[in-house]
Amino acid sequence: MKRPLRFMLRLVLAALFVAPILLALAASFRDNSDMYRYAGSLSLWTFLPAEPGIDAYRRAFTLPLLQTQLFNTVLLGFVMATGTTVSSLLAGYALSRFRFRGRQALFLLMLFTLFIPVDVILPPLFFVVRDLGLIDSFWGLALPFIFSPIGVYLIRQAIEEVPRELDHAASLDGAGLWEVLRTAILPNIRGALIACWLMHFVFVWEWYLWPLTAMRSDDGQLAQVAIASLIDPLRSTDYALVFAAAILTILPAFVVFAILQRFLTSSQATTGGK
Amino acid sequence: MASITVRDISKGFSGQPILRNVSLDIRDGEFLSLVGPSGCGKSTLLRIIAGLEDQDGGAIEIGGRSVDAERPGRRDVAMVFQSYALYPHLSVYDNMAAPLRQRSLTQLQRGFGLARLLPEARRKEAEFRREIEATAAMLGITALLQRKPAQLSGGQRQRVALGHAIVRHPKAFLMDEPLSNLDAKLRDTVRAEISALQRRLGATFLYVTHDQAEAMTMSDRIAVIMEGRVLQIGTPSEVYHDPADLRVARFIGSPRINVLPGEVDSTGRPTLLGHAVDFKVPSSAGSRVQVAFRPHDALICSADDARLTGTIQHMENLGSDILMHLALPGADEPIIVRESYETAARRRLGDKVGLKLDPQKLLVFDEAGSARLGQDAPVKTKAAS
Amino acid sequence: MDTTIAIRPVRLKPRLPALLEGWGPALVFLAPALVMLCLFKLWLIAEAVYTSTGTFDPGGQRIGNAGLDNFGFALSDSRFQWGLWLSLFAAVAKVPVQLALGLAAALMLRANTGGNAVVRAMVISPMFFGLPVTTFIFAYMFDANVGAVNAILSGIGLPRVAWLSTEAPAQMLVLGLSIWRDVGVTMLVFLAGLSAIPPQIANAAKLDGAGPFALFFTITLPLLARSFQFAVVLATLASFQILVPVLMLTKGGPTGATDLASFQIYETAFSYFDLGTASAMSLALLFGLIVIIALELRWLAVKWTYE
Repeated sequence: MKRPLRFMLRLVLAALFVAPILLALAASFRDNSDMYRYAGSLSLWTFLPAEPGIDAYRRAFTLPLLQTQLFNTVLLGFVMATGTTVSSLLAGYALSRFRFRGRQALFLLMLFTLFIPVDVILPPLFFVVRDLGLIDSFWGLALPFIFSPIGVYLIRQAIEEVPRELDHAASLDGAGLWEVLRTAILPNIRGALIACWLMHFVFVWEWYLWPLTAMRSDDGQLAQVAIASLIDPLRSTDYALVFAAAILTILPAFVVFAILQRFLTSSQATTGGK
Repeated sequence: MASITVRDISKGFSGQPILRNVSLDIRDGEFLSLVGPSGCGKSTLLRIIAGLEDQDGGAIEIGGRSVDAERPGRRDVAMVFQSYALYPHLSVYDNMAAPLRQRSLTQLQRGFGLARLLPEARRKEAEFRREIEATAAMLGITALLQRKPAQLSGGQRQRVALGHAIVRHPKAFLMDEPLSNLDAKLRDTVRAEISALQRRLGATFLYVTHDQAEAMTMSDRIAVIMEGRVLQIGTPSEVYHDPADLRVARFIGSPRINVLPGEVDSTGRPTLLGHAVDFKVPSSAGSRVQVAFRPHDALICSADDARLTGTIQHMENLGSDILMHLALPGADEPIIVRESYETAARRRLGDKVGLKLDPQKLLVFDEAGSARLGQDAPVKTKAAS
Repeated sequence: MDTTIAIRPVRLKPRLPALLEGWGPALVFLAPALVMLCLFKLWLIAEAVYTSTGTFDPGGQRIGNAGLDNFGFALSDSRFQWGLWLSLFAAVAKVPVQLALGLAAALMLRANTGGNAVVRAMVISPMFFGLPVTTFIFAYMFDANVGAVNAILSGIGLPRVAWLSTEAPAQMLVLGLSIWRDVGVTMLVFLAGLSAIPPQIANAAKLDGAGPFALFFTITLPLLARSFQFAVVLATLASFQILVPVLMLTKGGPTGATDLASFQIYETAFSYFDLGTASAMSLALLFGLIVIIALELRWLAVKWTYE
């Protein structure tokens, strides 16, 4: 293949994925009259705001509950990320290092739950949470997903790569079960822990169906679900407002991701051998 | 320092026996090697002594005190692992301090950095520093104390691992193939260093290796373990010259020992490949035996002078000596004979030569190889063979 | 000090086991995950089974047993049958397209250059925005009046398309969104698979005189079998998770073109409050999903390893 062709192919590929996102970003700087005058017919102003302004952001800030809802999303992100990481760490440690009957079966059972998508199982999940009396509560949103098969898998895998001799050395030094975890294992799986945390943090912005079902009160709702109700495909939608609000919503996720991603560089555990 | 007593230890993994009633006495201040092929159970035994593994039956005593109910950390033994097991995120200093801190600091002082600033903890830290610096000086790693394990060479890591073990003055040192990650040249130096260290510390060393040369050169005594049993315990010379079992004889010594099958004739003398040997064994006529001899206990002569003859199949040049591989008709594997360079220079591949054995040096085992047959004084006639 | 030592059973030990044996110590660490697993996965299935055998009043109170009637009712309902077909169709349409695109992207961006890293990041970027926001973006792009797609179509002389109110375009929109979002995952799976192929194998084949096409079909593709299996299962799983755009944009329409089984389950439970039937439908769909994945795992099973 010739060089320019390769370059073009990559450019097209990149554009395919980034252009829609840039288009949405541009839309957030338009106002409605601008949008409905120019966006429908092909010109430069189809894609870019003719009279860029931040009016949409101003209106997004005045949406009555958006700030509360945004806080809900971010808080849920922290709770989910921390909860799944801690529970996965403990379970991963047990599944990797302890010997007990049915360990492999338990691990497989955990992985198997990956095949139960929320979309399919929404009504029974709603009944379970209703029986626990958690509908319309923050914990009703969070608890069902604190156990994460992906998290357990990720962390167990990372712990498997920490040489057992390190645990043994620590326990000969007098460390108990918790201290082996703290001194021999934790420092060696930091990368995996941060990856797990970050993944589950960002994953909250993916949520739609479950909060839509399990949270009926507006001030407990997540921002992205509330914004979705602004879209009415069959009538004219205020897209500028939608995107301004959406961008405000994902901004915290981006900030956290930007801060933590540099810790993601794979950390290799070694004992000094080989 | 302390003695270690191992009584009737047995252990199996998922129905597969690994150790069968192993008993050992390691004396105070002794360097004892556990040697055997990989998978023989020697590492498992070491880990049971350390408390990293539970035995299925039997008992362990360290310093005359039963430790079966003790956690690894309470048994007061140190272990040096094959992979060294250094904490990759800690400096050499902190690696060596880890066992001291784990033992003498409270949970609070260990868990929170700030608690280390309290006077009590600082006094202890100062003690640790003295201890670590003394140990580092002894091992010659003082200059490395601030480095991380990843910045060290293999030999340096090995020393840090030793330091980690020494610094807390354990009752005994357990070493699990500590040299097998070093390259061959370094291994020879470190071998001597560890021996010297052991004498200097006067400590009890239990050393696991699959390398018989390591065991021979370093130990006071050797325990040869195979298939979960101790076949023989003795000094290196005893194990080499007076093996109790053909498997021990085969395992110890390089190049390997030669073995020829034989049959005891009506006079009580074994016949090797159809040729009678001139000494008696206490075995009934017609029974089969295995006769073994070391490569330096045989001589090559001209084919006419000997009853056992063969052709030179291969010559292995070791520099000062040459190992001659002879193919003997009827023998399963070639017979190896060590000859000096000068003598061997005369020989050519494919030469037909005779083989003379020294009847005094022959080791006779029963057919299964599991029992040594005491031999009568050789009959003084013309040399057999 | 007890110095008389006899052979005695060692099992009765007044201490923590040396090597973490038995459920006792494990349970302490497993507890959080295990409780959640039992509550929200195992009980969930049990709850689904129990609910599916009952009849309920609109308030959600169980008023009687229905046995297997709910299953019979759901499975004989021609609308639900259509929904199941649609879900199957979604999988059949999405998986091959997504795999082909993901593999192509992975092959193109295989080399570890700075430029490739940037393009890779762009391909996976839709994942970071979350399904709701990406759905907003598609809603805007394909908006009948102000959408950029229609603007371009009319700009080059083609007729404008009423994306959400015409059947085939609505289906394409929902599937396209799902594929666009998930191609990045597939690409990552294939990139990992490609990087695991030892370069010696390709080098040996080149020395044997294999051209680029032979190299791809005889070496690369077979050695990617494991990634293939994984990517297929992931894509199938994702094809059962396209309810969000349907719920947000098409509401099952137009004229049932996106009336997916999962959408019907949602409607049955939360609009018609027919809990028994909804649970029966959930179980039926879940069963179908698991059968499909089991078949895929079986057909695509890999029987070799490196070394």
